[in-house]
Amino acid sequence: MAEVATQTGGRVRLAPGTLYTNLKRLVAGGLIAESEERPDPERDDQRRRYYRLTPVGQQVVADEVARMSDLVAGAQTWIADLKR
Amino acid sequence: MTDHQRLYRRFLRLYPREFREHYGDEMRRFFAEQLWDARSSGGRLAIAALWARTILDVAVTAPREHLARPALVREHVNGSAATIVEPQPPRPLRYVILGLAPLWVFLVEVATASNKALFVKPPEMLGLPLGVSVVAFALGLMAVGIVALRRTSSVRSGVAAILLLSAPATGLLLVATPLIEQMQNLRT
Repeated sequence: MAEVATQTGGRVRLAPGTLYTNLKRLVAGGLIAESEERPDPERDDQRRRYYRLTPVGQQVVADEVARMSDLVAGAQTWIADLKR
Repeated sequence: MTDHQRLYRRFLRLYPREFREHYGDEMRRFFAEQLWDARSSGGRLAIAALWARTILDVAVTAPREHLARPALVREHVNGSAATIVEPQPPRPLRYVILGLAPLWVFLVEVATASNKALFVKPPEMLGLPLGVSVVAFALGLMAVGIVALRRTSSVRSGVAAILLLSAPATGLLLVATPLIEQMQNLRT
């Protein structure tokens, strides 16, 4: 959660309900899975669950990033045309 | 455990039990961490803001979780974009037809004029012929069964909705006419 807050400059603050209902959806959709890998024992908390992206999830992220990149590129071309 | 945490624990009861059992502990810990952050950063104002966010969060996500389908499927579109979509729950036509059994029974009885006794006073209830109240109750049960069928996502719960709601309603309609006719005969 700290990372989400850092990445978004504090604009996005996830609440527990939003986080865990979405985690459940992503697990059910096969995009993430509970991970058996644990961090270093000093940093580990036995009560926590850890999740990892599945191969399908990685593909979905890559596809989504590519799709958004296309959108941004299209918008930038459009703005550049407007300025000419 | 603080009063804030106890209150949040109560809010968690608004989520479906299965969801709570799986994620409840982590949600409580997450809330405790946010509470700790709020206390150390902004005091009362930050705690009030945390509660505002939390209440909104529960108000949005708890009903959604109650209505959520238990399974999700992925849909890959032309290899270029992917989305998660809610699957349609299995609602084969035969389940709906079975669920509507009380309606079929009632319509057949009306068509064959075999349930005339239902619409005659006495006996009466709340100023209406008793039979009308019985029909309304049975069709109401059936309606609840159909709503349950629409919401369900498994064959087992679909069958349960039919057995617990539509089947008793059908039985009630089948026995209502002879029973009311007997009551009317006893009076005369």
